[in-house]
Amino acid sequence: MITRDIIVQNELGLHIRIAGTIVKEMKKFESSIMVMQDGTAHNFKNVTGVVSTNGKKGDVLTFEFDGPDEECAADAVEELFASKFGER
Amino acid sequence: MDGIIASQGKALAKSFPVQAPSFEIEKTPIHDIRAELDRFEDAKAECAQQLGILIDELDDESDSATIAILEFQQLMLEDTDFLDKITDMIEQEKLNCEYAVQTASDEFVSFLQNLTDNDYLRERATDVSDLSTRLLSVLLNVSTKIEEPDHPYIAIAEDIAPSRLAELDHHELRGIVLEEGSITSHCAIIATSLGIPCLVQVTGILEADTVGKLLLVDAIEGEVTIDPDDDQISAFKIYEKQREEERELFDQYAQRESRTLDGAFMGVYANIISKDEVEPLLKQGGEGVGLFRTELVYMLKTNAAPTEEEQYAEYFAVASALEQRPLIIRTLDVGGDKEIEYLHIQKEENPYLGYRAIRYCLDNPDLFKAQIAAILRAGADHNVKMMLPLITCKDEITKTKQLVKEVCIELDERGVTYDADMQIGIMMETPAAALDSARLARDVDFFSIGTNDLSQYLFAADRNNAKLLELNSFFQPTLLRAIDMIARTAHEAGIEVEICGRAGEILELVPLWIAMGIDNVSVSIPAITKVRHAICHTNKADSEKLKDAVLELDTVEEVRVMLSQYREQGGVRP
Repeated sequence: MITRDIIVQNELGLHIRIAGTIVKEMKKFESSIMVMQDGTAHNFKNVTGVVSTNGKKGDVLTFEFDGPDEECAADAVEELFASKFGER
Repeated sequence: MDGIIASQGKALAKSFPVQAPSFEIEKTPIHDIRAELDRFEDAKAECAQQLGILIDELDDESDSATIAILEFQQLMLEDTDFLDKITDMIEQEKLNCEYAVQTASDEFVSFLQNLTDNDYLRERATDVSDLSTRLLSVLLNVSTKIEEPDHPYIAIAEDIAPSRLAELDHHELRGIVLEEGSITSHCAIIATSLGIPCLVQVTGILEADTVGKLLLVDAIEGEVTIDPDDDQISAFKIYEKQREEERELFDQYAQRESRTLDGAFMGVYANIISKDEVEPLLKQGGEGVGLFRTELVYMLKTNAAPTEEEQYAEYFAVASALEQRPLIIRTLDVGGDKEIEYLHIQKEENPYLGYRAIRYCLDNPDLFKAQIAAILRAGADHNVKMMLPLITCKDEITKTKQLVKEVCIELDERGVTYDADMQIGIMMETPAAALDSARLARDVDFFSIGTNDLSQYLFAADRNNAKLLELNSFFQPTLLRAIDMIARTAHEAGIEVEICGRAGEILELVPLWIAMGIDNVSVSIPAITKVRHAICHTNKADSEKLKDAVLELDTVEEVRVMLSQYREQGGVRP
């Protein structure tokens, strides 16, 4: 398992449209992708999980990747967040 | 009942609630867990299929916002957290599937609704309820598809979710009345494009008993009447007949010249929001576009501003369809009542007095320069002018011109053709600009008077406040004197002046605009021919005497009476 802290960079945060984009991307990986927040694990392969983090610009999310392709998954998430999902 | 006008017009038809059905779900113990789980699986599959069909029917470009919401709903149907809650309730607690669906979705809805620090997510709670309604409809075997009545109808609803609107045919739809909604909501934009009257924020319409009753929607005055009496019905019929007769009369004016009886010219342009409107504009004989609102170009994008190329494609399409007729493109007038989510402008206490339009654009030079570049390029072979909104002082003009210079250098470096001498004008809509118009006229090529905002800023009176209608009247003598002053300073400086607000199309006022020497009025497309008809029946020399008399008056009522008499007497001076 690997852990990474990733910053929400886009202006609007993790809203509903972005949740869709994230989940579609996450489902490509076999590994589990969770965000730990105040003792709760949010599953990033679920739209409700993404939205439940109420992630806003500047928030740091602690990701846990676990599975055979965990490295690739972690890189993909980092890249996706850095791209601001195509937003500003 | 009163409401805010989101799309103008009048309609009389039976009411038809298009509200998503609401269900009374009971908590019922079950025995056959397997069967209950199967029912849920089937319902899920059916909903996923329905959503897929809806998405396929939508246009990728123009409906991208709706598609994103429908895709989110599809993903909810694959969401293990959400699904496990439902199946656990069925398996562990042995409860009925409907109850489980409602409980799980209510839980998520209330989580979203309680996000007090996140307006965006909070508002999207309706999309989750909408999905749960779809699931419940399938489970209970109630059709979620709204069967359109086979007679003309007025749709009433709290708000119409994008997915419902996509499902609705609109052959018999005559009007829309929403308990909530806003003039920028999805529904309002569709209503405007369909030419259907629409009122929003009509408090109490849902609680009122409207079942099977006639509704009179007056989206000119902003009123809804349930069960109108005979007088109101015959008044509507007269209105409808007059509209029809006027249309026939005015249609003859589509291809005439906009000249007064004594030969003075005042051009009739139109206000548009997209390239699709150019064809109807030309059909009505519009002589140009006096105001191309670019907000829609931005609103149609869901997560980022349109690129320079995307904007250029749109502006070029409008410019070339207009051939060499003038096209005045207004730079982004975001804020106030026009919200664009991805620009992330903070909600403000007084948005009309806030961080918007030119103020926002100057602070976001990359965004602004992309638009400036697109406009300059569209002007390469066409008659395009640039107009800046909400100008209050010279500094804003200077800063914009500096950006224009920078863009020109960049375009030169890229070797792209553009109009290096494009005319740049400003909206005259703030008291500061009006007072200083003589100075500002030295720095710009034209003025365009935005009468809606000018009146609300001049009188410090919110134009959406129904109690302040009198202050916002276009017959206010102070407003008319301000417009006259702006017109005079423009002419003294040798620049053109146009009116692009709604006052431009008020027929009683047309003789005043002629007398003031307004170079052109830019009106809504359906008003082009009637404004031209009014111009063709006015004598300029005569209207100048009328103007002198009107500008001496003190009250709205006095102005109204004098102008109506003048009009009724066929332009004979009072």
